[in-house]
Amino acid sequence: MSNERQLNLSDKQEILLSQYFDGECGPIRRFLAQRLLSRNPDAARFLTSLGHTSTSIQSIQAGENSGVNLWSRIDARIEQERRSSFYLGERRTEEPRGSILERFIPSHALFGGLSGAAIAAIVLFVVYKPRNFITFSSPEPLAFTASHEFQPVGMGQANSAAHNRGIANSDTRRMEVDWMRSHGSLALIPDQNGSSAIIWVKRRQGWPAPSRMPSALQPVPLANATPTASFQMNREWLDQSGPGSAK
Amino acid sequence: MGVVPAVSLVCRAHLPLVCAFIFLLGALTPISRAEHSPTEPTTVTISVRTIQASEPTHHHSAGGGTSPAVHLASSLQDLEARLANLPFSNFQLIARKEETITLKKKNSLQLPNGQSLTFRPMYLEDKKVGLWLNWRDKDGSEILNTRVHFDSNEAVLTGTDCAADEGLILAIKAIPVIP
Repeated sequence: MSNERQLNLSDKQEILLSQYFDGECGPIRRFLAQRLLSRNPDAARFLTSLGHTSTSIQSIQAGENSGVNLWSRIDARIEQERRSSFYLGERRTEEPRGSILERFIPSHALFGGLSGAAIAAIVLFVVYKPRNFITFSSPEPLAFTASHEFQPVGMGQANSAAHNRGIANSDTRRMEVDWMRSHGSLALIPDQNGSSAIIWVKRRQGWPAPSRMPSALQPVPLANATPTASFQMNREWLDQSGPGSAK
Repeated sequence: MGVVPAVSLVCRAHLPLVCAFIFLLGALTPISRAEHSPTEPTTVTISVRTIQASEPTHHHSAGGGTSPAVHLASSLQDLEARLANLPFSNFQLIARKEETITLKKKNSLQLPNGQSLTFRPMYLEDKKVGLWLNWRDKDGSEILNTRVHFDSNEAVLTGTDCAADEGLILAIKAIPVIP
């Protein structure tokens, strides 16, 4: 031990060499250790002493005590271990590493994979069924009667829950509604054949009805009720709407 | 003894690859579908007819009695059978607007009385159209916000009571634009 104390090595260098001797250095520390060994003869001497210590201990374990006084070296080794544990923590044995791919897969890979699978399933669902995404399905289509009565399906903003209504649950179905929302109350007025419906919004009390149409927007006479005639008469509204938008 | 960990390792190693494959499959699917149907329309003409309904008939009684005569313009003849279900006997075409837009694009139309109609055609396949509609009043309140699917050769009819004895009806039609 006294000889080793005379070596001109710092504690960090001794720890570095100790790790190098035990094969615990990474590439960088291995390079540093080799550079230290090449530059500092004391480092090479220290490494040799470590080798002797190791060999002696192995000889003791094998019962081949050669009579060398090993206690000083053992003490030195213990002291090194103590320093190593102080600086580097407790020594532990690493588990054998798997493949490179496994190193890059964290322990959460399974969870991440499942999340990816779930997202992928959602993406596929959206791709293949864009129409039905974010729908609020109702298993039964809205039943219609032959009468002309309004059939409320929602009342106001607060309870304007989404509806998914097939207007007719047959091959003749021509209209489907995923959901409807309105400030007023909604009613579906079915066709006589039940294949389609008119969505009617009934204004609630407190919801101001729109003002009457200005005189310039009054309906055109029946005889002239072609789009062209209508727009000719409603020049004021046309100007407000902007050019090119009406035909 | 090492079989189960080996299988577990293989599963863990390949699960992200499988997920990535599914992702790629999903991402490439629209492209392949588009390649298989190059003539499928990607633009659609939205036609909005604004109709004023008047002269209420008050024939809401059930039983299917004979409906009174409906007076409507020639430009609304295609809607006669459907408008006859409404409790009005007179229908006037107020305005008609058409906008040609590509699928999944949003557009707005100004309607009489300051109302607006925002729409977005979502898809068009096999003469079926998916359309999101947002009909807003002049004050911004939602008259109707809905998503409907209907035949492209049919019109969606929606309406509201606008005055004491009048109604305002929108006939919305989506016409595919054949490239």
